[in-house]
Amino acid sequence: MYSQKRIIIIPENTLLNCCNFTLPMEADQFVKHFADQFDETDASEFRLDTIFRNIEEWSSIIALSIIAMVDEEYGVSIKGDDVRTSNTIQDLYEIVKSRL
Amino acid sequence: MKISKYGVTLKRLTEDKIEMVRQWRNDPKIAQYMEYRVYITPVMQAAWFKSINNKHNFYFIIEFKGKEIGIINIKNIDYELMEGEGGIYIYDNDYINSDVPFRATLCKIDFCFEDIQLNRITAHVMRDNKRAIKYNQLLGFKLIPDQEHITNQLYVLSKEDYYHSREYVAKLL
Repeated sequence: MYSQKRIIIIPENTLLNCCNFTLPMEADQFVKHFADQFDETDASEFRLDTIFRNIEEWSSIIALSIIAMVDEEYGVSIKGDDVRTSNTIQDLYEIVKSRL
Repeated sequence: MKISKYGVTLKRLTEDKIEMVRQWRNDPKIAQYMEYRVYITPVMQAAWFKSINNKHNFYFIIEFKGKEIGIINIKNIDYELMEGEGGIYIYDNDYINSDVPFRATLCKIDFCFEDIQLNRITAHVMRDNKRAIKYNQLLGFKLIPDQEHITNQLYVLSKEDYYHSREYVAKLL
C-alpha cells in the first residue's frame, strides 16, 4: 500500500490574498483577547475602533487585566500610562505591535 | 505628612484642603457610592475634619503627576485590635478607572501594615457594587461568612493575604 503524492498549484493571487488576510487576523486576535477580560459586555461590542473607556464595564481591574494579558499573550510590557493615553483598542494594539 | 511610593504621593489631609474635598464629596458622581448622602455644608465639613484629625484616622489626598485627584483613608483605627477600615475615591475623571487607584491603595496599605503595624484592614462594600468587590478581592480582601442578606458587607484583609496579592498587583504597575 502506498499513497500517491499530489502537487497542488496555488495561483499567485491566492497567496497574496492569504498574506493580506494575516494582518487583520492578528488584530482580530488582539480584540478577542481584549474582550476576554470583560465578564458582562457582549463580544460584539469590541472592535478595533472601540473607545474602551466608554464601555460601561471598564474599570481599574480591567485596566490591570489588559496589562497582564498583553504580558502573557505577547510577552510585551505595557504600563498604566500606555492604557491611559490610548483611546481605542487599536491604539493599544499599535503600542503592543511596536514592541514585539 | 507625605508618603511617596508606587508613583503616587499621599499627603495627609490638612484644614486648607477640606473645602476642595467637600466639593468632591458633594458631587453626585462621588456621593452616589456613599452610605451617607446628605449634602455637606462647610460647617459640617469643619466639624468632620475636627473629628478625624487624630491618630485613629488617616485621610490622605492622592497626588499623581502633581495633580490632586482623590482621597484615600484608613479610619476608626483600634489600637488594641490593631485594625482599621479603609476607603478610597478618585474624583478626577482621567484616573477613575485606571491603574492609579491601585497605586494609591498599595501605598496606603503598606503604610497601614508597615508603619502603623496594623494586623488587618476591613472594608465595607455594598453587595451590588461588583466593581468594588472585584477591586478588593484582587487586593486579597475576603468576605466575612454569613452575610448573604446584608446590603453593606464586611471584607477583611490580613497581612499575609495582602503580601501575596501585592506581589502580583505591583508587578503590573
